[in-house]
Amino acid sequence: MTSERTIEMNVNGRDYSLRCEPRRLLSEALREDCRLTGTHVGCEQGSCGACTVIVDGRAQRSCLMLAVQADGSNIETIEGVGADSETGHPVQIAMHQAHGLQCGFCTAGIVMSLVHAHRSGISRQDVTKEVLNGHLCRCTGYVNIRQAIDAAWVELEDNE
Amino acid sequence: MKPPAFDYADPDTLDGALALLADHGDDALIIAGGQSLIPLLNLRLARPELVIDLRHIDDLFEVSVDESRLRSGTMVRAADLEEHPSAMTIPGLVPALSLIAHSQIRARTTIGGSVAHADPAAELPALLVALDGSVALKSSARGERTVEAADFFLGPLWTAREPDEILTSVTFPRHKGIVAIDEVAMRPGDFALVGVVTAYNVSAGMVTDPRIVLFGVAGTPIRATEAEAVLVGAAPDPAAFSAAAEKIRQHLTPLGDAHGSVEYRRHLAAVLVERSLVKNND
Repeated sequence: MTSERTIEMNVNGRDYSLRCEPRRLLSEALREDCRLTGTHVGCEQGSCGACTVIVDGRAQRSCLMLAVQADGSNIETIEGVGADSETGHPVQIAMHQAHGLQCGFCTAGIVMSLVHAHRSGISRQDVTKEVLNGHLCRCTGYVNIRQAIDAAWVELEDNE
Repeated sequence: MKPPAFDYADPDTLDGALALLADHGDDALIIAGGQSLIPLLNLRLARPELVIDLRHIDDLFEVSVDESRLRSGTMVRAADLEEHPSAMTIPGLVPALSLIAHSQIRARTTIGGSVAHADPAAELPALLVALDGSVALKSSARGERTVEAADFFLGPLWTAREPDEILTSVTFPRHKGIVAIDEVAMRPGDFALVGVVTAYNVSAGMVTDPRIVLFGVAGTPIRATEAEAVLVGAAPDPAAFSAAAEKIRQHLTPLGDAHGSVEYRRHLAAVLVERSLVKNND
């Protein structure tokens, strides 16, 4: 008895109605049912952070959530970041300019966590300590990512 | 798909969830935040027939506070309790919450889930033991009961919760003295190699009712009774704290694994106990 359910969720401002088995992970539903493959899947144990998306206003692991649990949720994925702006989100611009990536596998998750942190007004120090620590990057050594954080947070700090 | 196939129920009431659990027994698993259960499902280490989700049971999301304690419903998210205005009034609680995994996990992990899961390296079980906290459990057959933290944690991922019971709330007493928590992990956010919660009162210049609870060193949080005994009646000064740490070096036999040998964990425990007591005293 593993009957499928219908779930409704809003992803990046668009409504989706999906039929899902209970065991379907949110990461799988986003990638395979919504065809939003910008969300990457790494460890599927919550350690690497590649699959991070924003669910109901908070950055969370989409591999540690069942799709049925996202019924009624508002979700933001990498595809929605900066979509309402010609130049992109400040985090995107900074990641681009500081070259805060190499292979790009972990990047979508990192950007989603940083977008959430930027929006929440988390301090630059806490971003590295409390937010970036939830992401593994095998390429960069984090140096350029931290430079991107510095650049993206300059404007925030200027506004305070 | 990673997890094995299972059926899913998301009842609106606690009684509904308890009835399902009574019907399915060991074949059903409760999901709260899922931050421990879903990795186990993804690895297929857990193979339930039915997953019962508590996310629609409003009563389980409540936080209540009085002069002596804070009671958190089982479904309260760690991040929400961390930001709750009353959490700061419970010594040790916010520092303990901030040590749980990463912020992205704390956004979803729950207080009750963390306590019921009873990972030997988890922070909240150790804090509860140090504070003389308790949990409330409910079953449809026998109703509600309260279990003291000291009697609740029985082994790794093993508690006094019966298969037909749901953990409904966790009570954190408000300690009158000084409480501190510290840990060493491979990376921030990882499970602790060793962690410690220390708590004590000071009366007429002397330490009373000291608690030293270690986690990550045994199957459950454990009290370091020999080290506690050294502190009773002593002045809260560096000499006493150093003597307490020495007792850890003499008496603790922690579990060792690939991440830390017995000797290394014993060393860490002694250093952390002393550091935590000194930090308390600042």
